[in-house]
Amino acid sequence: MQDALVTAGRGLEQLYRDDGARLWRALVAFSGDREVASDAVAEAFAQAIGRGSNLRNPQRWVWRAAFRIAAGELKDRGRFRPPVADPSYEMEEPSARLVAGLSRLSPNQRAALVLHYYAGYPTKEIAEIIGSSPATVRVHLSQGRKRLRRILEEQE
Amino acid sequence: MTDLEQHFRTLDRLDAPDLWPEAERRSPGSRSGPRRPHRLATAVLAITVGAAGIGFAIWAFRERPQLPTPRPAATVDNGQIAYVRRAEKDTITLVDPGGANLSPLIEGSDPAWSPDGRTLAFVTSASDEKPSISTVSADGSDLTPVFQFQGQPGSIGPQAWSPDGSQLVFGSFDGIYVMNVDGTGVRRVARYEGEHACYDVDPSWSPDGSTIVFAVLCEGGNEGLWTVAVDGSNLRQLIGGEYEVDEYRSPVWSPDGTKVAFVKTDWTLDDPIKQATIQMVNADGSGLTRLVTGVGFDRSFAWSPDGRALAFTRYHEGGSDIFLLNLQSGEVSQLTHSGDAVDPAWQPIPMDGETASLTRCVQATTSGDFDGDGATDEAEFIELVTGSISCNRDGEVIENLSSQEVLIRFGSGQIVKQAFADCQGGLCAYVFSATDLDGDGSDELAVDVSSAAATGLVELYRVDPDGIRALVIADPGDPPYVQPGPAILGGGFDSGLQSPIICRVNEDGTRELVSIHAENVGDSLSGPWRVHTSTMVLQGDRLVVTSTDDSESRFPGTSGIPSFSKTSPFENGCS
Repeated sequence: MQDALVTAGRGLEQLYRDDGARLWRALVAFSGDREVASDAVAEAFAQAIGRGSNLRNPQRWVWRAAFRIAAGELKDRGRFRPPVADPSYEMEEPSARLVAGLSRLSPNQRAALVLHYYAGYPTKEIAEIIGSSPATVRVHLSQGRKRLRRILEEQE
Repeated sequence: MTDLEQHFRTLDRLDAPDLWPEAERRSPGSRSGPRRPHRLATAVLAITVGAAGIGFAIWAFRERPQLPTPRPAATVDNGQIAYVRRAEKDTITLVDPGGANLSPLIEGSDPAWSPDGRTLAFVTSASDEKPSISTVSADGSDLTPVFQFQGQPGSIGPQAWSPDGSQLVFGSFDGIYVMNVDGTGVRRVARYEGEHACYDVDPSWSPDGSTIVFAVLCEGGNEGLWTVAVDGSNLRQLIGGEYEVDEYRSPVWSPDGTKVAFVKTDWTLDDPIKQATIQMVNADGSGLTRLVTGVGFDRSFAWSPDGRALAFTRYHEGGSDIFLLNLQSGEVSQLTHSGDAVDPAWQPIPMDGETASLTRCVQATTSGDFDGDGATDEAEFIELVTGSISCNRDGEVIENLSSQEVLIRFGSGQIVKQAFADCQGGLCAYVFSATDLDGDGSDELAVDVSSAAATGLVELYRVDPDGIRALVIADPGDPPYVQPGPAILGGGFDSGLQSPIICRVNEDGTRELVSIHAENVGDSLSGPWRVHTSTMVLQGDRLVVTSTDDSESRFPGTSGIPSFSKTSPFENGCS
């Protein structure tokens, strides 16, 4: 059992090296908070290590877990919407504008847009990550991109 | 690259920290220090502990009253279950409720069976921007594009059939639409017009054809489940409040139209697997009941056509699979094991030749574990009667009886239905009992097969997914009381109550079937009675006589006539 965990851990480390930064940036966009993103990534990979070889699709599982951890952290803090990032702090202006715009969307719309436009997931995989159906994800994408475009235009 | 993609690419400029050391430090078995207490670890665990949660769910369900046995009997059998395998491409796959005959059907998602079980409507996913609805026969032939949403990019599906099979209802982000199955006559029947940013989704058509139930999903909240008449009138809220945070999704009418089941889940992404439950409410909004927890979102479950079970999606450590919930016993069984299965739809099979001129009446029911899989199986003895009659006839013998059958609903969801010709024209439901004659964990079925003239004849059957077959008496039997051939026992010289058949468990754990024949050879009820006892054991499908005994007794007997006061000729000490 321990050997299996070690082997799985090596695979997960490679997954982290290949995909961890992308996941972290997606979570920053989703949560608007570097600390939430870092905590979610570390916790999701820690949980994945504990499950060892039992994970059928480690990448999808980690993304799914990390987004839920981040959402739970936001909820735990009593803010269903992430803080609007200060463009002068931590982020370059274009990223800060995007994150600020995303913060005005619902969590499901925000997650769908980040996973689709940044992470490149198709709707069916987004559905698995956020625990929804492809049809509903399409709705979130459709509504979310219309609203985000409008918000970004207002910022210009 | 679109304008939005360009905006999102700016995220690549963010410098990501190296979090792997922290992940290793927190992981189980790490020696680098105690794991940081983390509330959210619990949330992650919930993704994979659906099975643990089911204990409470079933406990909760069992607190509720059991569903009543329908009388008359259901006129629709349970066919195959269609579901979606989410691999590289979505593939609609078929499988028997028992897990056999698994086969891919066609690429697509959101399957919905027509009322006659011959056609599937589904969403083709060639384009995320403009998905379309198509139909295909159950054998994979006759693929027919029906409808593609035109105009602005959007979403359609899932969809549901009208009960007469002539129309489809589907959800779109801008309303609930109805159309003919050939794609013509598209019209909107509902569209959210409140103050929030909401949209109507997940429609289901009532079995009487009059009403559509749907969910109202909002940005950051929802407004519950609503019903609307098919002509767009009489819009009203079924359950839920105004802009609540909890989501009500995927309402589906029960096959008898008296209830609506739906998925209730948390508004945020936080721990949704743990929170999502299938609940049920009466058609008037009363009687909220929780059925099972640990289910997936959205159109993640389906009623069995006979209304006795649910097929639902559950996410677990290995992905997602289809599970079955027996609504009568509360038992849950796993149907698929591929880890990529979602969105079940259960095929209805209308019973052959049963029209308004034939009425099916359930005369007796029993439950047991006939196939020995640990799940409860339900058995029905059904009389098919010519004409439209009331099945509630208070024990009166139906004169215009057409035929009889035994129907077994296995806990796995599989159904075995077999014509039953052994009744000799009698009521044949006086004894209908599950009993484990040999203690092997698989029950046998004891059925009264008496004709009107000869009371107390009980026949014994082996029941499994392959069918129902009579146990036989091994040679040489115990003539004239126990004859070689099909195991028809009892039938004493005066009445069945004086000739009981008893299954008993001995002190050493062995089991015996005892058939007692008592004959009054005196001048009054007190006898004396001549008593002949045949004792048998079940070996495979054969009853072997192990001993016989003759005695004489006075009424009430004390030497082997224990059932004089019983109301049934079969004393079941082995169930």
